Amino acid sequence: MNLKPPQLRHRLVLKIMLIFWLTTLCTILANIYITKELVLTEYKVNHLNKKLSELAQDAVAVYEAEGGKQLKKWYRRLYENEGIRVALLDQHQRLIVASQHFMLNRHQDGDDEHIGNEDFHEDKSDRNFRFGGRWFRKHRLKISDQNITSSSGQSYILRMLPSPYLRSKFSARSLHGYRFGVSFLIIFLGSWWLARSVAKPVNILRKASEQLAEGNFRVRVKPEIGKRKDELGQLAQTFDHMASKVESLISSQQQLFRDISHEIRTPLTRQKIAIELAKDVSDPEPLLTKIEKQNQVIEDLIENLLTLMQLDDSQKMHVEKLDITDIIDAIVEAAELNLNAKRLVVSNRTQGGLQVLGDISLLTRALENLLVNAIKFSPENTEIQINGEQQDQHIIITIQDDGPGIPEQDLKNILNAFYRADKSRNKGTGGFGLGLAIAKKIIQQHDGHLCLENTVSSGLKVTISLPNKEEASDSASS
Amino acid sequence: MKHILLIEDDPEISELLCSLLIRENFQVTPLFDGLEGERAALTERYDVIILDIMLPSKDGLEVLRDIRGKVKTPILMLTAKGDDLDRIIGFEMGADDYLPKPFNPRELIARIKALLRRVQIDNSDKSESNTELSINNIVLKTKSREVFIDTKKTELTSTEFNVLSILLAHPNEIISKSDLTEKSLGRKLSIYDRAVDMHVSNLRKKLGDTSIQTIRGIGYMYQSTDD
Repeated sequence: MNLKPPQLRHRLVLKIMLIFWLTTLCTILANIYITKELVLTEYKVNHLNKKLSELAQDAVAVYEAEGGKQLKKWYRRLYENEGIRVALLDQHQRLIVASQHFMLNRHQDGDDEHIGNEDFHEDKSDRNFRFGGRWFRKHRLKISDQNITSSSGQSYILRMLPSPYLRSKFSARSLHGYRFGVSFLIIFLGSWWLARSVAKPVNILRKASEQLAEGNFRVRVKPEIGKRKDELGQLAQTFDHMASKVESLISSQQQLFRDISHEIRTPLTRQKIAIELAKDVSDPEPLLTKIEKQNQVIEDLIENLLTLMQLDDSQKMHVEKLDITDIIDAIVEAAELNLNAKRLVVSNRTQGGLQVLGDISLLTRALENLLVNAIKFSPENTEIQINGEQQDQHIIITIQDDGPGIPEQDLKNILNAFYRADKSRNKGTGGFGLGLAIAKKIIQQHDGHLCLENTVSSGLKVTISLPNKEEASDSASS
Repeated sequence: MKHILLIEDDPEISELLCSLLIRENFQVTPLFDGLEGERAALTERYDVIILDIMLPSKDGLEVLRDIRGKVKTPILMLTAKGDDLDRIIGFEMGADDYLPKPFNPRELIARIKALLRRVQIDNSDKSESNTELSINNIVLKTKSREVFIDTKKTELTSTEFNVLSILLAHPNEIISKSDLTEKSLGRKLSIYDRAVDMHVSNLRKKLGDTSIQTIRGIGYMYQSTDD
């Protein structure tokens, strides 16, 4: 499995950088915002303090000249234009005009809620004051009362009430607390994000690896990290690929062991019964022959298995320039006895001079196995056709018989070791189902392909394609 | 002469086994195919059936499942060591004995004889007076060979019945595997012999509780919850 490196925008490095950058940016912006808000409020308070005596004079003038009703209108105007709420008190700190309703509930102008003097007083600690049924912290007001004496000699107090204009989101006293808290929160979130996107998948992978090491080959990480497109997502894919490879390897290995033990069990059982019988008969000769035959069966099996195992080790190949035509002639000649026994004819239409690079004993074995297989399944008095020709960069060899072919559903598996299309062994075909597996492996070792198909006339056609000499030497040198 | 039905697909093993069984004075009918074997087992009367697992046209386990409830003939299964055992347990029904391939031919003869002997014992049992064992929710009638769980009649194979009656006869006592094998199967315990374990496993499923406890390395015990 070869994965391309992820696109730049999916790279992990970029992701980490982005997280850092965003976290830092957010922290800075938050701090700027907090500072700005504070400075702005301070500025407003200063500005208002300067205007306060002016406002007080204005209020007193309106009240003395035009009365409470106009004062209320003045309040409202002030609130609407400047966003400030004030209340004019007499020297005993009593409200001059009641019904300050609008001042506190700026979103609702329904019921006229009367606010009496009893509603307007400070508590004993002098830290809070009550207005309109609500308590306010005095220090939030920031602006102290303005005492004023009108031209008529009357004393008044102008009190600043909590106003939207002056509403401060942060108090100067806990400025450092705010900054620290917000920075901490943002950095915490950033780190959490980073941990989630890097540490979490790594952790999942680690746990999965541990499980794999303990022999749970079914473990997969795709459901948890499979959607990521970065390096970790690819690592997850690679991990899953590895796990499934290991799983199938182990299970095929186990299957192989089961098959081997099964294959050995049958001749051993025969042997054991034959030995038991031989103990008790006057002429054990035929039984001894049977026992010997079973020995041969087990020997063949082991020999075939060893070949199959050795094929996994390509180091042992002795590669040389070969003429396929010679090999085919040789195996046909060697099979003469078997061919004659079933009165089979081989029509060999192989072109001369088909050259490949390969191991002569292995290729001979592969072709021999295929021919033996064809002979085994051919009915008597039929023909086996062998063709060999060069097509483009490949040498194509076909071996075709007139036998029963292989059921379509078995075609895929027939090349696996120990697989037999004919499940019952009592039809005398014998063998272990290793011949084709060995042939396939040998051809694969030579960078070739082997495929099987049923011909229209019900026989089996085996097609081998091998790279021809030039290409083989190319791939050998690369 | 005792008549044996041999269902085994390998012609050579079959031929050799026939010679062996004939030498031991049995009459043998060899068959090579699962379906044929099943038909024969259901229509003819045999004293013992030897059944291979790997069979063409119908798997030995399926044959066993389909004839088990219908015929009382003791069945000896030829298995392979390893995963076949799990499949047998998974099938939730028992043959009377199991012999893994490659087996010792003398062992096979001994087991066939044990099965035949047991059938005789079972038959002679019936003449005895009817005793009733009642423990926990189980009632076991030795004469009629019936078992009731919560007063519901439960079908057990003949071997399972033997195993259960031995365990129930000695509640809260450990019974060794070799004793249990000898008494229920009528033969000695051999190595790799898991026949009794198989019967116990099937029994547990049928009883549906955990009263039969495995005492590791020794044997089994039926735990009675009655005071």
